[in-house]
Amino acid sequence: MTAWSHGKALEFKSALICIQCRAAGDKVAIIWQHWQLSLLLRGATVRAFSMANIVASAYCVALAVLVMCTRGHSGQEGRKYYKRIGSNVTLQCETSDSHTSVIWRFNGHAIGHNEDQLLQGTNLTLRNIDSIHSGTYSCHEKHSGRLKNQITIQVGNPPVTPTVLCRSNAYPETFYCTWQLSSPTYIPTEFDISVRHGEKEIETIKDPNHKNRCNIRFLEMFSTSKYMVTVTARNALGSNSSTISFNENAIVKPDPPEIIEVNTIPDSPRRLEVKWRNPLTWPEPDSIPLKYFLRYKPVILDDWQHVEVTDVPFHTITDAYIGKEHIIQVAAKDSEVGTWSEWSKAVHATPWTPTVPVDVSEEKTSSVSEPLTGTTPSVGDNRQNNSSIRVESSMTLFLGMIMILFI
Amino acid sequence: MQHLRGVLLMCSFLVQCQSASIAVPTLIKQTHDLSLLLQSQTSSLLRSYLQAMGRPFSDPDFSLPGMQLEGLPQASVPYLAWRRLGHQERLADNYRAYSLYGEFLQLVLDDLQALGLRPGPGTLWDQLAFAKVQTEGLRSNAGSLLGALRYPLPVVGDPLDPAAYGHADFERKVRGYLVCRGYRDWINRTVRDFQLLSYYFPA
Repeated sequence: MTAWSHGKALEFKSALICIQCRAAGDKVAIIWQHWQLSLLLRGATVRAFSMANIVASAYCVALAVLVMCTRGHSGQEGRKYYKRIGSNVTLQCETSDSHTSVIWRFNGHAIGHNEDQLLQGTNLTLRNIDSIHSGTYSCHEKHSGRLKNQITIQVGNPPVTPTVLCRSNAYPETFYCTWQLSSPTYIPTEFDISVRHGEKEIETIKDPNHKNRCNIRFLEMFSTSKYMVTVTARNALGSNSSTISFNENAIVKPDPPEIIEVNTIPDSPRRLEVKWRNPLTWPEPDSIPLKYFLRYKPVILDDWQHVEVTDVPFHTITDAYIGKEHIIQVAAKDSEVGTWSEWSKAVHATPWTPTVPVDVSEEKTSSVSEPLTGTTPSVGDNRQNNSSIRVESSMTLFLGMIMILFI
Repeated sequence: MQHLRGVLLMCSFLVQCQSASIAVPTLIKQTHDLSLLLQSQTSSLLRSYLQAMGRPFSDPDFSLPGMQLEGLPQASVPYLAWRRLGHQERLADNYRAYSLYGEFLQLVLDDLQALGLRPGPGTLWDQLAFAKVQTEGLRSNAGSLLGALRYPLPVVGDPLDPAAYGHADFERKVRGYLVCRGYRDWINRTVRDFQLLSYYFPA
């Protein structure tokens, strides 16, 4: 903003929004673009010359703030334009005298003129613009350096077709949809999502933790209707949308489980007992159970061994390589529908190896690998005991019956 | 001695009763396995049906959202409502559903004959006839389980009256599509129903 005092008039000019306020005696004039507002101040308030000035400046400031606020909301700060990459644009200096010599600056720096950046009279023509041309162009009177006009350009693209992906890692409660653009727009772009189930439009909730993601509740299971998701990308240069449709079953993919323990078994150099827990995001593992896939190999080899494990979150590997460090991972899938999760974080373990015991206390720490410690498992032993108890009890029952017959 | 024989008879009777309640988990597991087998076939059955009916049924992404056949059991149910079903209700829902699907599948078989599709090995007609027989198996199992758990058999309404349904070719085709689609969804539900029941009655 610049201010001049011409005798009894006070003039404010803002290059950004071009407001002029003049105070002279009891009159205040506010000039904005081609409108002029004249105010006559009454009575005592204009007795002093300075009072009129104060009133005028107060009006100016208030109006300037108002205009800038509304301009800001509509997305145009000062004169901001969005232009497409590869297009040509002509910036006008807007002087009344077209013979005035002007120079143009880009972000305050001088512009070198070439065939793609032409000065035509007072206009600057940019050809084949790119995102590097985004910035503020200002037009100055050549000799005085006075600013005549200022234009901000943002160069970008209209949005390409958005890529939409939907997935349920929390079946049957919720699913989510994410979207992205395969090539950037370089300018602010908004996204809008709508989800239909059969004929009805259903509610979506923006995810507070993830950008470009919305969460949707399943309203029912075993649904006949498909879900239809439409994402629309919109910016100042255009819009584009993409729709996908699917059955609820097709998008079910749990998060990977987490291996919580790998135990070695004394005197069993080829065994490793692996235990894992369900992903925390799966809401109902009792009524909507998961099944699992385990893979393992010695770290030094390339080929994995695979085992499918249904019903239980543990498994004993019985063909580990003796004395070798193994890498183990597990994946999960809904027992009926959908696809397998990604592999869990890998865990390393080496099976029990016989060592010469120097000390009793050293035995327990042998063949243990980070970060899990080997412990003597009691599960295997108990299973043995249970089955032997059953045999004994059925034997006694049989003997008892025979005795009854012979009495 | 007679005293003893009486005791032995009592023992054998008790053993039989024992096996009746042991049979529930086994029957649940068998029904679950059967429903899994059928589930592996329901999608291809629906696809074969749509192909055989020609356009617009055979168009990719053909669907009739929001369209339903009156009296055809719908499988869809909110999760919590499904979870909270008691064993009796769950089994009774399956019993009722497959009683009706047996009848609707027979209706579709009649429609196919009217449309000129003949029975024969590997044909759509055969696949549907097989599905119909299997629904009778599912209904029977659900009924046995209700009996074994001492629940009453639900009353299923009057059999379908074929005369109540339209005879135009297009109507027949739409009907068949809705039945095959609904059958697929109900099998999906039965798979989960019996998986949940086997959690409560482990074999």
